Amino acid sequence: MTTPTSREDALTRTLADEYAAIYGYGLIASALVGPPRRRAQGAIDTHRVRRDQLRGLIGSLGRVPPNPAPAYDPPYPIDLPRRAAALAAAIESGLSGSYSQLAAQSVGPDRRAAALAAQEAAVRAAAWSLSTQAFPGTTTAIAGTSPPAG
Amino acid sequence: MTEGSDRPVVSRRVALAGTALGSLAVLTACTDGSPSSPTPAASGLPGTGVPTDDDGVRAARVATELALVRDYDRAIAAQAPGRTPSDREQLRAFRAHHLAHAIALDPNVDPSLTATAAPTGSPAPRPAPTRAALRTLEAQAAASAVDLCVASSSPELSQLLSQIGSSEAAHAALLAISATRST
Repeated sequence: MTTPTSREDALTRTLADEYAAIYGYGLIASALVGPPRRRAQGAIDTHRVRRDQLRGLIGSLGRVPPNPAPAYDPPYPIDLPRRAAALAAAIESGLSGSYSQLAAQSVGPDRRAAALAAQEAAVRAAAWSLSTQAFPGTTTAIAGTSPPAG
Repeated sequence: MTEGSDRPVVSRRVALAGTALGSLAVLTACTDGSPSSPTPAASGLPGTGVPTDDDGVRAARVATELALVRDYDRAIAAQAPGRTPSDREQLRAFRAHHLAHAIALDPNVDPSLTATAAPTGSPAPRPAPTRAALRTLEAQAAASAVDLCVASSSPELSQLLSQIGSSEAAHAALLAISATRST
């Protein structure tokens, strides 16, 4: 995947990741029970707030923010708590990387906000996987994930 | 089971799979060409002032990362025998992350760290940090990474610093989890 070269591009990509996160956490929550399920449900709210912020930022550039896809396919069946947690970690790690790319395409307070959002996503990823990476978002946390088909 | 379906959502499946950003490739060798001697900016304590040029930002951050490597070295060496192997592995992994951060910022950093002895005139070795102390150091490092990220001129450097700060924020969170579990 190429690196975004404009703030609009970075905002749009991050919004797409937030849409996927909201959808994905619905699958994740349904595969979990108890406190992990509540954590996943709480994450949906968190990502909805981020989604709305990103839509507003794209709108402030005079652009119409894209809408989410009707549905998103997970990379594997989310039928076990372990798989649900792995997908949550991968979603958050990818989002952390997207926010770091957004930071690179932003300046001043916008950059600070993006860098802090990257940290929050990395912390959520760590809470799901109990591990982290030297460069969150650089590599996917899921083995066997296919690259974009086009 | 539904793979290969002609539903349009199939083309979006990658969106849930996480993206491989490959941002390490953006790193460039824009160092000052003096591999064995830290620049003066590197002697500044993190958080006491944000450098205004990218070379200064890199040098300051390399110093912070190498100090964290040494902190982890002392913590690993002093670890109580009762600690579980996973605790030790975690500290080793985090140490490796900080060394990777330093090398990403400055390719001249010695991966074996044998050439990075404490500079002359540095204070006496500090005692080994506890896990709680490491957590505080990581949180401080994550916060200062944001300041440096904002101060960077080059997008590549700001992205790298955002990722470094994200790694360190995650370290702090994980150290808190393990501290809750094991103490």
